[in-house]
Amino acid sequence: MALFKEPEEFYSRYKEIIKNQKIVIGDELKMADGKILERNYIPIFKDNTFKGHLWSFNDITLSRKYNESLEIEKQKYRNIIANMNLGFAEVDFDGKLASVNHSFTEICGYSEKELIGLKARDVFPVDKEYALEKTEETRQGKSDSFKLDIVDKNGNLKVVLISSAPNYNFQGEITGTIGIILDITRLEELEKQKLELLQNLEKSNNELKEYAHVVSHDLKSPLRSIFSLVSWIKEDNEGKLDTATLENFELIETTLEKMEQLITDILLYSSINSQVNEEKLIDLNFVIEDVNQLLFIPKHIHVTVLNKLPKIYGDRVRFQQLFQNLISNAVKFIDKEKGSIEIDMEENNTHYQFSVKDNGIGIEKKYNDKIFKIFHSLSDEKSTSGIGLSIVKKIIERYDGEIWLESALGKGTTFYFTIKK
Amino acid sequence: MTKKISILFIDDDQIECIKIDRVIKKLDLPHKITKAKNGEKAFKILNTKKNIPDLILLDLNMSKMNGIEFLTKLKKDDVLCCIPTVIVTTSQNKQDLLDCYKAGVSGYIIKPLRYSEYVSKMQTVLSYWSENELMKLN
Repeated sequence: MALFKEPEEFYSRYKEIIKNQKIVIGDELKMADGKILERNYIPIFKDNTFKGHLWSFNDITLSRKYNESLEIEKQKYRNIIANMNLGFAEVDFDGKLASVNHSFTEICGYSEKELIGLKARDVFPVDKEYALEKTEETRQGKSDSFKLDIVDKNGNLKVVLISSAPNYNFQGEITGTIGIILDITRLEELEKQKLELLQNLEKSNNELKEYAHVVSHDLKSPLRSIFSLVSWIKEDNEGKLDTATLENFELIETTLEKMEQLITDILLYSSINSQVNEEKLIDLNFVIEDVNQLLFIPKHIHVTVLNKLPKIYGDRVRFQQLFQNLISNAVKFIDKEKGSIEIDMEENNTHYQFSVKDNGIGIEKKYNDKIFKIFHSLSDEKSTSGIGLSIVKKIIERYDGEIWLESALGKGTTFYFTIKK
Repeated sequence: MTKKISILFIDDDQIECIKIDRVIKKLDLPHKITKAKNGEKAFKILNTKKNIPDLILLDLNMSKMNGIEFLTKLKKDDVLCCIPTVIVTTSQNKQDLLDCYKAGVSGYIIKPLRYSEYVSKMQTVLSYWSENELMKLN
């Protein structure tokens, strides 16, 4: 096996050097095993007579490899910088651009040729004083990230995030700065849009609340006035009005009452989703007790709670409205001599399932969906607005639940609903 | 015999003004009612510092200076802040209720739909305040 990688060339070179008898420094020899040797040839002359020569060999394999890998690393980072999505710029001590990558040219709209030597600080920033301040800070050796408004070549306003750091030479002296630039124009726009949307939403929410206020006041006031006027006519003409007129006045009064109830219910319905009260742990057993006291429940109707009800997180007033509507509905439709309303509860992993069962007149199947729609009342009574069950449904939906019913005509109805745990 | 008190009634609704007069008449009460159509006009009356009322009945929703604005201004006045003020309003809004009590009202009455209910509510309010020891600011 040969000692050298190219033995023939070695031999011819060797012969050449010997023949020339001239100093040779730093000749490279590649060995068959991969080693690299540096060879020096020094001829020795005395009185112009060749006396012999010296060969010296150094193993430079290690330092050669080291240099190569350094070059590879350098190339790797150069590639990353050249191809990354972030803009890169190197600025010399005078503030002139020394090198830029492709992304940088895209962000600012200038070509690389136009950029090199350009004083970036005087060209791009909107607020040049702020940019100078930041550059000074970086030159003091501070690494920093900051937002900057810039104008590109086409006059477009852009927002960039600059991370800058001082650049040092071998002696550790600052020679300028390097910066990584991220174009956040779009991001900023989105952020701004989000903020605007939120503000608009808050505004329209407030307007809606205000609107509910106004509606409540402005619609109820005339009703109250009509009621008073009717009462005064009656008062001022006591004994002079016939039965038919008095009956008509009574009809006006009940109509006004119905109208007022309607306004109250609509307001209630529209305000279910707006947070009014604090959500806290409430004991539904107490809520039912309250509701039973609040409602007028005739003596022939018994309300029983079959199971202990849970404590849940929620708005107490909403749950009161929920049960109040269901129980008063049941009371309204009970036609039996002995009325019964049974409240029960089961639970699964995710939800509590409640039921309110009555032995009333029942609901025809074709109305099962309709009754949850607003203004759909199945009762001929004047006191119902047809909003009660819509309120119930909306409250339940607010607590991620569902409502449905089972009913047999003449036997009774059971409303089921779930509330998320 | 009911003690006579003087009342400043602030409401911009004509029917409401007739109503309070009728209630006084119907119940045969000796009280003196002065009316103002809004907060601004009420202040014109109050600022004369003559005939300062014993009690103010105040509506919330009014044009120009509304009830809360009136109340806030009233409570800043060294003398007038002592007049007990009872809100008489349609608003069942919790925020209004809170704002009013924060501003220092002495009562909050909801105007009912039924006239008869109004009469009995007013009877209660007026008899309560005429029983009270009141600051005579005049």
